[in-house]
Amino acid sequence: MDERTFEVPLIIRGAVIASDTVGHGGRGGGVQFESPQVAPHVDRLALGSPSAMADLYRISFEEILDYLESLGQRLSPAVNPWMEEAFELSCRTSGLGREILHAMYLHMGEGLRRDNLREAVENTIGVDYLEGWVEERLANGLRARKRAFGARTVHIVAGNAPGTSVLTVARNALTRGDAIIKTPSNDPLTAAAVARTMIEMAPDHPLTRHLSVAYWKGGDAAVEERLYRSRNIEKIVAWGGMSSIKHIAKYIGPGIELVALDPKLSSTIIGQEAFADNAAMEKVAAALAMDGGSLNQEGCVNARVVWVESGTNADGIARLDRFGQMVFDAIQRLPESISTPAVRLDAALADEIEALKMGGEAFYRVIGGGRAGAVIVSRMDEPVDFATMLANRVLNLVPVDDLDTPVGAVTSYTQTIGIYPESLKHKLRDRLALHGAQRLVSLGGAMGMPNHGIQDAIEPWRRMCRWIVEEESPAELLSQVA
Amino acid sequence: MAEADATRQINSGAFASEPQAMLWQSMDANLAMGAEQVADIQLAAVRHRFAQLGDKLPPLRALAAENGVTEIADLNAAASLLFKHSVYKSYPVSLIEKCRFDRLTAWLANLTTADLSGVKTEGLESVDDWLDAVNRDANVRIIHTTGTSGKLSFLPRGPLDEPLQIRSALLSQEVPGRPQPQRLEEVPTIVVGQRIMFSGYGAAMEALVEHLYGGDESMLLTMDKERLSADVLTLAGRLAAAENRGELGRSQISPAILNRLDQFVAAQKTAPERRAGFFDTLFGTMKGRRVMMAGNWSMYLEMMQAGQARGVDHIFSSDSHFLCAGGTKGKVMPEGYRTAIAAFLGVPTIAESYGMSEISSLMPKCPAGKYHALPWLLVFVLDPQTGVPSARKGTHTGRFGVIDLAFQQRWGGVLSGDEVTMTFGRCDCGRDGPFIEDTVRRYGEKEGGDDKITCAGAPEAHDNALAFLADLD
Repeated sequence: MDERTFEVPLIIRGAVIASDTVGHGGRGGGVQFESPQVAPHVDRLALGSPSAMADLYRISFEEILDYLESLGQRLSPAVNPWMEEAFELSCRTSGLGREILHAMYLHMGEGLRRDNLREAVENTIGVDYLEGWVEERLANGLRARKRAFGARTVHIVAGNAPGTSVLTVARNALTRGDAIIKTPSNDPLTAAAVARTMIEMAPDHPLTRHLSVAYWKGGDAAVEERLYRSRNIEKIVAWGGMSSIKHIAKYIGPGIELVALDPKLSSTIIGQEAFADNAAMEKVAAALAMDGGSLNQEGCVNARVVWVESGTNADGIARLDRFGQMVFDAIQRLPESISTPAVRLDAALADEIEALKMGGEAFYRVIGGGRAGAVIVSRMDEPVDFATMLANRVLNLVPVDDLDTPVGAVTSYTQTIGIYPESLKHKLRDRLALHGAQRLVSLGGAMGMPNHGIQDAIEPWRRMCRWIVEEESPAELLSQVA
Repeated sequence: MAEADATRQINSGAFASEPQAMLWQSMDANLAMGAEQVADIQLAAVRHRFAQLGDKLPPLRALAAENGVTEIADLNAAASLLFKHSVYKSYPVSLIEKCRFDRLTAWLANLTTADLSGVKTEGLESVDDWLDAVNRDANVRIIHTTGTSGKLSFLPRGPLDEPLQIRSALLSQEVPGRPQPQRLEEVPTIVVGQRIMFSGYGAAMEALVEHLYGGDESMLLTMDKERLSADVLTLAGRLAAAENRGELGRSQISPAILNRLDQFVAAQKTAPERRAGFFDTLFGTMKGRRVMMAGNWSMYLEMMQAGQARGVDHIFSSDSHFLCAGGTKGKVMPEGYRTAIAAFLGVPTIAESYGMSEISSLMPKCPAGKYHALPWLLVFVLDPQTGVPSARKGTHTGRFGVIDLAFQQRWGGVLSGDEVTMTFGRCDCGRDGPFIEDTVRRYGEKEGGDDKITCAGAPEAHDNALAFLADLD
């Protein structure tokens, strides 16, 4: 185990602070790093006057795209020592292997391509609404002019996917916000590396001057009680972390809006059509392996519990066992650039799986195990008791006779559901939505990040904006009011 | 006969094939055995136990096959035969809701060589019923954990292993290097808990009544005459599992759960009065008397605070026997609590020990402050990542594993969730053999409190279930 201690700067609107540091982490296999104390800088961290955001309105959308595109070209660890360091740190905390992480960092800047960003904005906010006041005429003759303004926002980003830091920078820039990114202990460097690159590229640019990056331990009252006030910020965008949501909940009140991208889990529903013939089974198994095994099942979008309409009688279980073996084999065949054996085995999960293996096959059959991952085939129409722990490429196949069972198990914690075949998706989609499911995808498509702008049943791009309206009433309307 | 189980003729030549016989030696005699002698006995004994149980217990057979163990070459080779603690809770919790106690019994039968075929499960409606049925019909007492995860481990104790219970309870009252306690049958036992408990604590109380007190219930001074309901303890886990199946909050919860819940809520409401009444009686009628008690620091602290609130002090006779095991249970203790509690109770010191529900006996703390492994406990320190056992010399920190060689009807090997620092060598107290520092902690505690954020997850099942319970109330 190496003892390298990383240095994490505090970045406040173009200024890099590296003094007066305290140590963090190092426990339970966590990485050790030092960062400046944030409490003495809270007053600077908060943007005192909202007028200071006016500079963002002197640049055009196209100029913002120019800026982000050239930023994207500078983020490869091959040319950027800060990103190289962030990559090295992530290798020590992430459940993803070095190769997968390397590919992620190498391609991270591509998310900032202009065509990509333009499509995302057009499908969510609409460029016109960012660039000016868009007029609508209502039936009573009133003219409403709407514009999407940026907000002073604290972003609490997740550390298991470094791309969220870059995405947050892009969303903040495009919406003309003032962002304070609060980094997690499992990735305190990526956002800071992006910010330093911006400072090097364009130190006085308004986009550089409206980004701050800080690490403090979530829940630190000396920082949070002073920062999370409605005169300092308008919104908090929180990516995951059950305890981080709990910490900030007490600051949410009039004047501060929480945009919660809560921790989620995802699942799969497979109809009986999967068993049409051997070729169909193989095809479905390969698609399921993609949803469950990609990125080592580290994400909220990854499949975990898999409900299969195989039937629960002996024939059904036998079918499911055969299918389970195909799924396990398909996971093993996934290319190393997207999936590897467990980098960090979850010991508690491994203990549970080993206990099932030792316990005979009355209730569950375990295919595989250890770092390779596993497929647990339930013998009845229920997931394992530890279903919420599933990780390290472990899928739980659950046989059902009736699709009411998986529909009933969906809650607001169910994010993505991969469904096979398409016709079943259409049949179930309304009911799944009512129960809380947020994203219904073709089996094998869970990992995609399409530019439709919807996430966790909200539209984060739109929610990051403050939607302002200017109304012009015709004279006859005003006289009625008088 | 009661005394027959408490004292026995000892044939030290047979320890290798009857390691359980060592329990009938005195504590000092056990701790005086040399490390080499113990190692020889343990190697022979673990081979003997593996030969006895390896084919009869399917999980042990599976574990041995998985790890390619056919014979045990040396002591550390046996470390690959440790059950994860999860083996004792690998049943689906839904069996309880569906009242499939027949299947739960069949699951349990894999873990013991005791005959469970006579257990009648028809008509059973609760875990408590089932624990009673297995005890009554097969003479197998189940010892369950009291973990907060909401899913209980069930450890079967067969009839052949029953005598270990009373011997362990008495042995734990022998403090290393001090004279053996005399006439314990005349000394009442304080129980800060319920009269009926299927935990390890409760099993020991049951053994005392039967074998030490000859069935005289009045020798137990129990806080609560009721039962520690395993159904209540499992409620959170059962509600969580119901949620996984999509049944929580949709009026599909079994009436049996709701009934238990009502009883639990009612009992909780009157608990403070009952506790107050218990302490009033205890400090009044037992003042100056010789008593004994085994508990954890949290229980002792509660007693002291109750006494301080009543303005009483130095309650019991100084030749009383107080034993503490199980640490502080996460509670923050006031400074100097050890001395303060001993003074309050009226004794010079409180004996301390380290153990767990999965093993027969507590490991006593010596005057140098170390916990000593007893000779029937084959102990290991394992790398928490790889599971490789440390060499059996020098000092190591890692995950604690143990094979309790005293058990005849269940495999005594278990890998704990505790981090320990253990030394194979001679202790400052002069004793030779493995000893453990007083720094034991759970791995979960060590890793908790980090500030990692990931987008994948769901609320702790337990949190959810408790919130649900709160809503019902």
